[in-house]
Amino acid sequence: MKRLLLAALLAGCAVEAPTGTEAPPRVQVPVDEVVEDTGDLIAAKELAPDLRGRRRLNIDQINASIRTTTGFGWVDDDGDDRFEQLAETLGKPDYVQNTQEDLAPSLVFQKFLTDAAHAVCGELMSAEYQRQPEQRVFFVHAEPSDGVAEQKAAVEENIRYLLLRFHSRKLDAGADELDQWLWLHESGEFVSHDARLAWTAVCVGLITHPDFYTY
Amino acid sequence: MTRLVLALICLALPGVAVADPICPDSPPGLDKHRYLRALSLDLRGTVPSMEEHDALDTLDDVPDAWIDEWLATDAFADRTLRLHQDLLWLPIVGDEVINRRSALSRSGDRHWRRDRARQLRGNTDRVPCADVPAEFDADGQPILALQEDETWREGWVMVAPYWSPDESIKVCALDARENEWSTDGDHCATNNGQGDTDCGCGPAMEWCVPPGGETDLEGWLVEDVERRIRDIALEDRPYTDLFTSTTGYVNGPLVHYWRSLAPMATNVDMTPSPLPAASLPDLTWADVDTWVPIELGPQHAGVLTSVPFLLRFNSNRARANRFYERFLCRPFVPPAGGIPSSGDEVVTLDLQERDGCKYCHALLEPAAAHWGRWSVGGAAFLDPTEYPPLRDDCYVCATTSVGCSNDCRAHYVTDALAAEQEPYLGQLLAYEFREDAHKAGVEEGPALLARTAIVDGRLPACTSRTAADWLLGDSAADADPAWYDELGEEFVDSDFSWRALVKAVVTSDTYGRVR
Amino acid sequence: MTRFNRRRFLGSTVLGGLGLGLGLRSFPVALASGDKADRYFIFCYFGGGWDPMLGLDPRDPAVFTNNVVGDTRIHTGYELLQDNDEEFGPDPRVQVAEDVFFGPYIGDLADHWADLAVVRGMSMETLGHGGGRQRFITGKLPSGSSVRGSSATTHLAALLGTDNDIPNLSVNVESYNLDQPAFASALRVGSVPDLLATLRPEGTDLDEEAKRQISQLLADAASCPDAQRSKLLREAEAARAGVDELLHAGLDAQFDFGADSASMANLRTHYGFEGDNTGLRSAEAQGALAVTAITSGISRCATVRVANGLDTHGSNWATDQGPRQRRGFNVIARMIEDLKNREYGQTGESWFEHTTVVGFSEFSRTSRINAQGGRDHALTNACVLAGGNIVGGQIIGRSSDVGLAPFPTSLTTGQPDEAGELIHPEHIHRALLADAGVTEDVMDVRVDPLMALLP
Repeated sequence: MKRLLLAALLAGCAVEAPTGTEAPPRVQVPVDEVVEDTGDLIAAKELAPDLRGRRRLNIDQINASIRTTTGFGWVDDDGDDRFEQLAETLGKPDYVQNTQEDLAPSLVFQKFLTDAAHAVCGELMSAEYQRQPEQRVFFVHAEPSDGVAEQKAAVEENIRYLLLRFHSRKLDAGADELDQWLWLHESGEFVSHDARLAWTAVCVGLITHPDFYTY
Repeated sequence: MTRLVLALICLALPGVAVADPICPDSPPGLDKHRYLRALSLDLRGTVPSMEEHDALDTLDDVPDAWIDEWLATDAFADRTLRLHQDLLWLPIVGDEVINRRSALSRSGDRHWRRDRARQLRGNTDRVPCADVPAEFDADGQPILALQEDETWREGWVMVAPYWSPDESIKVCALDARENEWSTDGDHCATNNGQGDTDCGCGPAMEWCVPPGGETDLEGWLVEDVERRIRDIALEDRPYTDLFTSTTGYVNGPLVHYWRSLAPMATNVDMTPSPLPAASLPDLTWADVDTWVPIELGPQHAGVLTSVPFLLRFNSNRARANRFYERFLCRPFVPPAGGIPSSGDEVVTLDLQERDGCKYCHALLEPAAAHWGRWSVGGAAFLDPTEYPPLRDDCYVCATTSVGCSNDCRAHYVTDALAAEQEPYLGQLLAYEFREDAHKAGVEEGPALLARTAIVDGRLPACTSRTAADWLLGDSAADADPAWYDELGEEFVDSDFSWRALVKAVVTSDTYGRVR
Repeated sequence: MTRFNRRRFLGSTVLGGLGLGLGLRSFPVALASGDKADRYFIFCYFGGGWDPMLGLDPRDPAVFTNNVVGDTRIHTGYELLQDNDEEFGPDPRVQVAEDVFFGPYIGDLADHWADLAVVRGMSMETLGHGGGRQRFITGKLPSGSSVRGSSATTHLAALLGTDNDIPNLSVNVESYNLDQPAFASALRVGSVPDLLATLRPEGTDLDEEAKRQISQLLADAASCPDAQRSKLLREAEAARAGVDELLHAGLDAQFDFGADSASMANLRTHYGFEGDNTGLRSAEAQGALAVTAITSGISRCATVRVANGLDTHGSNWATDQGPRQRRGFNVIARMIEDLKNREYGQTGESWFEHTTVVGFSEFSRTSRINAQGGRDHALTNACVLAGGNIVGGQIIGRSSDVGLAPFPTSLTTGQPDEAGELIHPEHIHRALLADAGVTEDVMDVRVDPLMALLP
């Protein structure tokens, strides 16, 4: 029941419609006269002052950030960039047919971000398992085979590192917020008996987390 | 419910610790690492590196020097470009910047002009030449032979085209002809000439466009503007240069375009040329990656007279509307209560006076007139020497039975639908219904409009607002108006430095406090 | 087909996560009830600003001759049309009834005159492409470039689409949701292939259990107070939670128009597109998508772009404006035929009797031809509706005989009436809502419905 209630909350309670959105009448002024600035003619919205709203990364930023954090891009079998192929659907304007950027964290966005995360994380894991320790970008403080049960400290340290790398969240050692990520790794390993898959789940979770795609 | 599920999993799977949701304690302000992330995404389009995070660990906050460094990068120039793609709608859309008749197609390795094929070969279908070497008659003309498919076709010749002079290609002989004039007396490097069956592509295929060349040319015309925008960021030039500079860029293909192809363009009006031929550097088509700044002439006003802008907003009203909406933050909106209908009444043609319309057009018409010497549906510039405000031949043809030239019909008032137009017969279209006080706008061009808006503060204020909107998102509207004023003043004091403006926003308190 | 109730899914996440899936999926809506108030909507956008004299609002060239342009301010330009496929006589208009004509490029839509309500003489009050499009879509003029209301389709989906998997589907046309529940937001894609990619799960190394664990972590993060305070994060979580449901619904097969099956081959033949990448991205494929989405019960509203490149300021008006309009009108004709051929549940009625199709553009083009041989933007507009409860075989309103200006019209009779009102898109939206049983002004457009559209 609580879940349903929570879902109802999440599913979009009615948002207050913007008010006072009628533009004031235009002042007819000859173009070569100095105009006293009468202020913004576009109506302001009523939001909390002194705080900026959280924003979603645009598709170019997502694409670049995935490449920066993982070293891989989301490409198809021919090596073509999938974000570019889906640009129109993902709301990137081409300024030909579509001139407005869609930055909503919509269902379509979530779906393809998840697809990208799975694809890229799979590639990253494959690469990391082949790399020497000094070349790794994901397993910096833990070995790929490390699990929570035996190497909790290393796994935790690696997750701290990953949270900084992917989310720019600097957590202290032993911080409570690490528990959910440890849980994800641990339960994943327990169910799959495969540390690689457990870490893949962590990777996917990092990319599909709002802390990655918003700022 | 969540805990129930987790509990069930955990009961079934011994050894796994339950993870209750832990919520971060996040004050509204970004800590230095999250601030670094926001800066990096906004200024460079990607997240920071681990090296940067590690370096930040030893510091109290993100140093100014880092921000300055990032503002000087190619990445920031790319971000600036992305913003301006939205402001200017840069791609050239649906316009043919070349003459369709001179566009080459390719069948196998034979090059031919598809548009002229029926006329040239006398067939009902468009077909290329036969895949055999051409034969010529005593007059040196290609011989057409009846083929098995009952089409008449000539053969091909080898030509070293201007776009690859070191590599000869097969060209259908009728298309490869080099004669300068047609038997009808048209020069072959004109639209009429290309429409004559005895004109070809000229020496080294000079008058024709290689396959795919039109798309490439459109891209390069846009790249000219993109380079100017990137210069604002990369070289920290005054932002106002975007609207006042008389410098543009060309590469090798664009040099060829302006010299040989633009004069033949039909779908868009590129004649008279908007830039002086003397300013074109000595580059060839092969110099694709060689970009040279050139002086465009005093009539230019930065992006406002660039080909992409003029073609995308291809009427003068559209140009003025875009400038007002995006660069002065003053969109034209209808009056409250709507625009009344004129029904079946004959109303004034002067939109500055027509009921309902005058609400916007009293300002829009004189604003649009600043582009009065720039052709509608093209990028041609009507030089005052050749196109004075009143032209005798156009006045004569408008007021007598003498036929009007294409020039007069395209650029001058030659028809009076109503008596109110009669005083303007023979005058440049931009002068129709123009008050004396607004005529200077026609002669000075968009540069006057831009300079006025710079001096009176509208453009700097709007630029500041645009930068804030870009970096703060929706919440820009909440910011203290005094802060905006301050931002605008600092922008002016910095000599319109785009970098300084962006830095002022990203180092503001509001930027660092996220809801 | 068992259809998932998207909004109820969130309650099933837990049980589904344990592999139990106990009966929380909804069953098909009782379409067989014969409920005439059950309404569906397809909006067909013609991009660029159409010339109504070539389509919905022609003029008699024998009356509006070039000699009287000074008085009428109308130049039909029919003599200038260049068409490789057609030769026009002196009067190229298409007559569909006594005193009822369409322009020469009305295409196959003329065959459906008895189903059509054409609204003429609408006033758009803006000449910007974006503004005009937003005006039609939302029923309100934008504020600068910001819309001031949700799309009509969003409102309709919010009111009627609670049981649809994708209540509001849009292909290549913008849609807005400022104030309606998140589920009513349009699922926007750029093409049919992209819709398929959206509805199909991608391969992954992780199994379902691992995915559920990731989902749990993300749901927990979304439940935190910080996340709850953020509208963006609430929307993000609602959207994320909807992805799994959509993927599990197996909807992609409905839209696999390139498949090598008899039904898909018939569909392609009817609409006239190939099963390759180009064909699947065509306007015709979009038409098929809209009808499929509606008649399979997946969507309540579908919006597609049936024509492009109509912004003919130059000489391409003579060559391109007409054929591009015609192509769009032909797509609508195919949609009408397809809807008529599909039975609505087991009612004996067709889907056409329950689906309103609307064809629109952002504004029209000037009544006079400019110096470049084309037409510029003009405030007066027209649109066409068919299906559902729309009274067909009628022309509502008119544009004036001087300059094709908007003309006041009686909202109840649809006849030109000096005492009437200038018709705007919002009058039409209110009528569509009224037909769906919604008499309140839920869109806050502050006009009365154009009741002449309805019986």
